Amino acid sequence: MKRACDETYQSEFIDKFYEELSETSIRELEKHVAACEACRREEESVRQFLLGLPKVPTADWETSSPLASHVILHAAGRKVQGSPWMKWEIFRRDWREFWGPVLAMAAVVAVIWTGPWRTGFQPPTPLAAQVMGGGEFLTGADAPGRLSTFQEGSVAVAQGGPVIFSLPRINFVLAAKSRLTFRTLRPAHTTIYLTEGTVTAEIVPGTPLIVKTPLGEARAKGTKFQVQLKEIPVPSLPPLWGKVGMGGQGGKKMKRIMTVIVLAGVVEVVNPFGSVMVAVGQQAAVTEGKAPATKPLLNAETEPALPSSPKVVDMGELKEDPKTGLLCWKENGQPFTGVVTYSNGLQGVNGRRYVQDGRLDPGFIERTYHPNGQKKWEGHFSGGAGAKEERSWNDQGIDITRVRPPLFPPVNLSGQASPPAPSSRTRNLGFIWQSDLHRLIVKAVKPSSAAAEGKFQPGDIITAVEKVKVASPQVFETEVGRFADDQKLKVSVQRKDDTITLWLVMPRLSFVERAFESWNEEGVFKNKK
Amino acid sequence: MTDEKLVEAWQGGDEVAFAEIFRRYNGRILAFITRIVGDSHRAEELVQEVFVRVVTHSRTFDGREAKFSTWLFQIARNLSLNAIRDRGRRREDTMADETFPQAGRQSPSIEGRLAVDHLLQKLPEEQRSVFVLKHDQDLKYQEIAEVLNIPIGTVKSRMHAAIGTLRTALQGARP
Repeated sequence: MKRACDETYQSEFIDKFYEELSETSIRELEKHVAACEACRREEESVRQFLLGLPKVPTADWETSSPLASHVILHAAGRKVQGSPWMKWEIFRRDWREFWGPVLAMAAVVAVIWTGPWRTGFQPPTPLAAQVMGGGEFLTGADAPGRLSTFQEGSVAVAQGGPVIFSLPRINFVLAAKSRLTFRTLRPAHTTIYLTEGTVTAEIVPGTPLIVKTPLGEARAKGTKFQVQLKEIPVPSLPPLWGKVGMGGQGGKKMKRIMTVIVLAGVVEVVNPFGSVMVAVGQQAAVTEGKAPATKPLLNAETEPALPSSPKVVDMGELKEDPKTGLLCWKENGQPFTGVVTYSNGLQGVNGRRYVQDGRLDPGFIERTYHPNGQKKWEGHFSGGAGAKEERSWNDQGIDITRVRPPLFPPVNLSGQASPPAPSSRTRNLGFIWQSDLHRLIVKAVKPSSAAAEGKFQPGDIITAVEKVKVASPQVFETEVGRFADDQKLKVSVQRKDDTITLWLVMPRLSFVERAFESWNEEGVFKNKK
Repeated sequence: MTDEKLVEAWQGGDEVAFAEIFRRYNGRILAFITRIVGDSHRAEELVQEVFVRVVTHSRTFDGREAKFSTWLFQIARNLSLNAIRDRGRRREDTMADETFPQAGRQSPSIEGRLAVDHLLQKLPEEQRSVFVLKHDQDLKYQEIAEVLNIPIGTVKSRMHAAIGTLRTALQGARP
């Protein structure tokens, strides 16, 4: 039996709707439809039907939580232990996760014990930025990295004035239209890759810094210096026939030059052709294919306004703020309200613009914007307590604030059905916030009962915390000072709905071989020894 | 930055690149799996499993040979099928012997997503996958063919069949 033509063309109507029909086929189809009333009706019916078919609103479930991806990495690590390659990766990661912090802790304690001076607490902050003179800084344009002490990323000053960046013990001023990438392999060991423009660095004595450019690198320790990378015209003979040569700006031949100007201390300037020590009042020039050369500094105009040296906070105590109920660092009896409220989210990722609107210590506001300038998200934060309030808008400005469903099921920490509720045994340390992190909980666990029963148990209140530095192998890391002898420190990260165990550190360095113990998701004791 | 560049960075050890990959795709993958499996809670678990597979098998992915998104949807689809099998769902569990909610002749939006979700679960899985990849995920027929490893003609016929079934169910018998 012959089919009606509207049935025959039904598939074409569908393909046309989804833009899967070739131009030729579309022309043929339209020619037929123009002459066929039944097909016109059918095409419109198909179109209306497909338009009315709801799609799954993908955005409802989107999350940009870096923590979630780290959870996956951890999960992947647990699930692939059979693979030799992954075994190596796991070994490497575990070494970093577990032995790294302890060795770092041992080093800190050793310095405190033997050194003439005490090291200060360095807040585990990402790179802090302060925009000056109407300047604007963008991050992540070239690399998806966030800027943090333990990661690398890119910074570009688009226009306007300079931008001040601060890392613990180092301040940078990045001039307008400059660009750099930085990498900090471990605290206070930073390398800057300057690809364009001028950066000025001021470093606390004793802290090393390397500024690399394509032409060479400047190695400094506790100095103040400036590195410029720019193009200059190459002097050339006048053209014989009045013509201008091709290439370069305006026809001039250009070459790149790296200039290092030393404002305090000494800087070593190195490239494959040689090295030179540059003292205060001198500058060094590096061009392609030549060894660095020094010459006197003609004037001091090059020094930009730098903020005061990064604050080195003396070893503090963690005390409860009577007003907020949060634990906070005390410095000389005063609440420490420094850069602890910065977050990685501030730096922005992937072209999204993040603006820090207010810096009310210890709280602040963050906003993100749609590319059209419409406000996209706003969070009100209280230092360490996570977001007090979050709101979201779509690109039409309509409030779409909603509670996001938890992406991962709760991890059972203590054998209970749900994570233990915050109690007097749980303290918000009040000094870290990172993206979806809402609380950082520190629990003390009694080792004897844990070992005996093969499970950890919620323990006592931590009575003595002298030094805590938070970060994880990938997200944040923890250093622990002294604790009561019968206590361990358990560091967990709690999101809105789940609690995820990262690791446990036993503080007693004298028992370093027992320093790393952990529990699986069911709370079963697993010694990582 | 393209997905393939990100994967390359991730393969080189850059975990931030992985976080970006995850940010780009977790919502899409969750939406896809939810449609296929029909269980949002299970889908959330499966999303995690998908990305775990991505991590553990990242070395097997070659960006010169395949698009990352294709590979990702392949993993998601395979895991979804496993989940469906585990659940004991039979592929023969089609619409033929079911009574479907009649959402009216004009538009299924009256009954909304619930009705469509319900109907989708009654479609044969092979039609459902094609429909979800096309309608929800906006993949091209060619990409769907690569994800499902079937000829493009089969993709088209399954898509047309799926829509035909949905139309019949939602709009009633065609005039």
